[in-house]
This record gives sequence, structure tokens and C-alpha cells, in this order.
Amino acid sequence: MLKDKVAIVTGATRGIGKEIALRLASNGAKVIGIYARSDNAASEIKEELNKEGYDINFYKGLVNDREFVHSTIKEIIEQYGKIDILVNNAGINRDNFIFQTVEKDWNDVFQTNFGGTYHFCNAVIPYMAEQRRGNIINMISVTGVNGREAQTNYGCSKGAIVGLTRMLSRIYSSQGIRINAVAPGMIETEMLEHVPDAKLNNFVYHTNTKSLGQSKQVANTVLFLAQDEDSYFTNTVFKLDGGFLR
Amino acid sequence: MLITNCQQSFNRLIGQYYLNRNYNVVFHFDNENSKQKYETELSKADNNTDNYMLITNNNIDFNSLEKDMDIINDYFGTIDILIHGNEMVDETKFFLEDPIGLERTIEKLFERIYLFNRVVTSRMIKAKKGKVIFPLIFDVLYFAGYPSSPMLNNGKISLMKCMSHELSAFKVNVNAMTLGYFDEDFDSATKKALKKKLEIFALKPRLLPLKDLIPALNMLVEPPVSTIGGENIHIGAGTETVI
Repeated sequence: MLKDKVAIVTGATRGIGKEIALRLASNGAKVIGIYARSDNAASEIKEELNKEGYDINFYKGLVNDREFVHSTIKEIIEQYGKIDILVNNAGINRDNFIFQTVEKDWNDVFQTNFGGTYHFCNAVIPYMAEQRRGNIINMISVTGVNGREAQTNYGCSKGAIVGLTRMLSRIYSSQGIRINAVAPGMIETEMLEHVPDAKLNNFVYHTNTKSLGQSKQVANTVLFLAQDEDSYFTNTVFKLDGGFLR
Repeated sequence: MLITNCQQSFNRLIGQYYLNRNYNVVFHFDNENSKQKYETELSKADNNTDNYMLITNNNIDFNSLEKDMDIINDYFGTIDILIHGNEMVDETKFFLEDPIGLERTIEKLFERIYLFNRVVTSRMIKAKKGKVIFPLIFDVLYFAGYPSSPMLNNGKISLMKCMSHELSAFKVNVNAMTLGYFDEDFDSATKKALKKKLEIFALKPRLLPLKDLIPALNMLVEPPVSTIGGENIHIGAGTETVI
């Protein structure tokens, strides 16, 4: 499906990002994963996928480090010659009520989630514009769509990514670059470990499917968006939330 | 009532409107020059100087804002209404000219919004009352040639919803209002052409000056019921922020 496509996935060593990287690679893409800390996880994924004949490589660095992002994109272009797909998945949370949120937590979350997405888009778009072809998928969250208590920094950063998706799509969709966002609901990953059971149960109760989502389901949506080059989809926020609160 | 970003004339108009409705208004500026100009303007007009206060803070951080809030508290008491004045950033133009600068600006502006929210709402929750309002300009007007701020708008809408979720427990209402198409002193030919474009939203759209849309904020400042929260109310037929 994605044979010879070059895809970048940020936050690719765990959870949803790892699943997306695996799915794109197993469908023929040459995947470049970006990660911040987990050297072991990156090595294991690379070894495992390379054994199966899939093409995956990793770069280590912080997505909110603009110089790292731009130099990495330059290296990728030198090595692969093009970038077809960018999946901005890297994100963190530091949950607290707004009146208790300290500046560091606000800035760390905002700069990683929004800043990281912005830097990658800004670095990749000139190459995609030159190719007159490209596909950007920004991972947001149901929090960015519906809001949630004690996640003002996270929700705000994800909302700003919706706005970034809007702005870039308005400028570049006519130049062959499709830019969409995916808003997963409560997905069963390690990020849920700190969520109290009562809260999770209430979330599931208000979800049509009566279940948590799975990383594989998110990866399927990303694959759908990534492969469909003739698609008319752009500037759309795909809510992948099992029908939460609807 | 505290209004931020009063270096922008639109936000001063909001303050002036509520000053005329006998509210105590604090105009908050990020530069002294704008403040002094407006101070002169206000003193020339026949305003009761007891009802307003102008504050400049050109180095906004947590501690300096806490000091600003203490000053306001000593003069007017607790802030009842926080209006996050619109920054009026043309993001697309900014992006095409200086993408790195835009990213830094967006982060800086959201940090300011967070700081204002933190220092003001920490007082509101103790008083168990308050309103936080985000006036926005509909960014889909980009297609009709208006300056637009999609990142600030959508970030604020998500932030507003998150804040509403947690602050309603303290009887603090958080809402946004998105103002649609408006007249910017267009000449009649421009206005006619613009109205044609704007018919995508509604036939024969009426273009009022931005200042004439400000009274719509009263729906949130003086709400008919006390439980309106988490709303983004649109002004202008056919306008809707779709996520």
C-alpha cells in the first residue's frame, strides 16, 4: 500500500506512535521514528522490524528542539530523497487544575505538543511543497475537542494544533499537501495508568461502544489517511472515540 | 472587570462599552506608550476616573501579575470578570513571513493567557464566583480576506472547554464568543464585493462595525441564567467553528 513512501512518525517508541510506525512499515513504507529517551525500545523495534524485512530507522531528539528537527529533516532528505508522510504523534501531559499548574508544566506540555508539531510541519512543508505532494497527520485528542478538567495545558496545546492544521491546510491543500488531525478518545496505553478506575468507567459508560479504544484502531485510521493520495480529505479532525458523548 | 491586551483598540472598545454601563474596568496593557495614549484619551472624555484603572506590565510573569492583582484588589476588590482581549494576530501572513517568530509568539501569548487565568481564577474560586470570557474573531473569514488567528482561536476554545469543566465546580463560568463578519470601514465597492463572498455564510450578510458587535458579549457578562459554561457563541448568521 505504501511501497517506497517515506514516513516520519514522532513519539514512535511506545503506545500509539509505536503502533503507527509498525503499521506504516508493515505496509511498505520506509519509516523514520523520532524518540526522546527510550534507546532500548528504539533498538528493539528496529531489530524486530528489520528481521521481518521492514524498513525502519530512528533518530533521537526532542521534538521541541527546533534545530534538532530541522537538521534531522535535512538528513532524512539527504538519505531518502523525499518525505511523503509526517505523523506528529509525540506528546506529553502534566495534569493539574489551571490555578495549580506551574509555569514549567504549562510550558513543557505546550512546547512539546504544539511546538513539536509546529517545528516538524514547518521543516517538512517546504520539501512537500516542492514535491507538490505530501500528507501530514497531526494527533490531537478528544480533550482538545471536548475539553476535560485538569488538562488545560494539554487541551490548549491540542486545540492550537487543530488551529495549525486549519492554517496549513488553507495555505497548502491546493499545493497537493493534505493536512488532517486525528482525535483519539480514551485509548488503552500506558498513559491511562494514572487515570482512576472510576473515571475510566464513567468515560466508557458515556462511550457508544462501551469500550476503551486500542492503539491498533488509531493506527488503522492513520494508515487510511496516509495511503489515500487521491483523497479529498483535508483540514478534517477525525474523531476516533467510540462515539464519546454523542 | 479586567480586560487584557488593551494595546489593541478592539479590547479598549470592550472596556469603554462596559465603562459606559457603569462597570469598574481595569485596562491591562503590555506597553507604557499605549497606556499613556489611552489615558490621555480617557481623561479628555467625560469619564468618572473612579471607575477605571490602567495598568502596564511589559514583563508579564507570575509574580508581576500577582502584584497587578493585588493593586486591583486594593482598589476595586476581587475581579468578577476576566476578558482575554484578542491579540489580533494575522497568523497566515506572519507564518509566511516569519514562521519561527510565529511559533514563539503563539507560545508566548498562550503562556500569558495561562498566567492571567492562573492568578485570576485562583482568586475567583475562593470567592466562588466569576466569569472568564474569550472574545474571538471567526477565523474562517480568512477566505474573505480578513486577518485570521486559527491557532489562537482553536487553542482558546479547547482551553475554555477544559477550564469550564473544572471551574464550574467553583461557580466560575468560562465561555467564548466568536464574532463573525464585520465592517472595517470598507468603501462601498469593497463592501459590495465582500458581501458577495460572505454569502457563503448567509444571503445578504449585514456588516456591522466591530464595535457594534461588542454588546453581544452581554450574553456572557450578564447571562440570563447562571449555568452557561463551555459555550462558544457565534455572532453572525451561518458562522460556526467546526471541530
